Amino acid sequence: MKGILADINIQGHVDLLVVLMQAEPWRLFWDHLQLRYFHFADVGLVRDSADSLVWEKCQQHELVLLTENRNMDHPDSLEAILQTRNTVSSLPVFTIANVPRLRSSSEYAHRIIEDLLDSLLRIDTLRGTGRLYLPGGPKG
Amino acid sequence: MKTEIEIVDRGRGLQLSTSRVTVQDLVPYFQDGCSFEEINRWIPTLTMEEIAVVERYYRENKAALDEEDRLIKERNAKRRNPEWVEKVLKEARSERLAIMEQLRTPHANGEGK
Repeated sequence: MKGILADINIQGHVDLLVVLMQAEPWRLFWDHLQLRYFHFADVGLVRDSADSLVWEKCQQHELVLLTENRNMDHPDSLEAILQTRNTVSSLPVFTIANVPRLRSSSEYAHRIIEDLLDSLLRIDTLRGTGRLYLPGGPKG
Repeated sequence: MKTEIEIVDRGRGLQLSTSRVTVQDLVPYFQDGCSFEEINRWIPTLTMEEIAVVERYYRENKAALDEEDRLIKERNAKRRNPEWVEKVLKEARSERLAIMEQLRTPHANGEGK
């Protein structure tokens, strides 16, 4: 796994998370994981790329997608792609459970970071899980 | 020629014809009374014109979109990671804390002496 890709509907939020992860207290661990951060243009995606292409690019470039799930489960949604194309070796997609809260709470941002970094530490174990939620657990 | 910005359905919920941002992606911003500039700060790939198109659609279909938003929030509140994943994350947390502690400790190269 090489890095993180921000979905464009939450790009500013992921930019914020990455800024926090590159600062104390997370910086040393971020460096330890040797993570890189990507925007759509960095991997040849455009503003209106379909979910299927976004998912394919993530698998091809070994990136985990950070996204939001504000759509009902339509036939060409990311959820449908995960149902049909996910394999045991596929990298999961990370969905931020409450994006509006991320805009207003730094405590929530740090909870997301903790769970994201813990997930990335065990990313090979988590392959094939499809969609994972941040933050996880009953605290989510 | 200028591209016309429309609300379209490409099988993943109503979205902009020029971007993968959906109408529902912006509903919470409109509900919170965010300015177009603030929306653009969080979604920098959107143009003011695109935000205006979605905002107009939201105003014209407010009741239905607010109800859909309520259902989405209700659904998302119930979603959890599988138990085994939470167990994996708990173990990873212990390892991460140990690694962070180790990274913060000066190496035995005279630095900490």
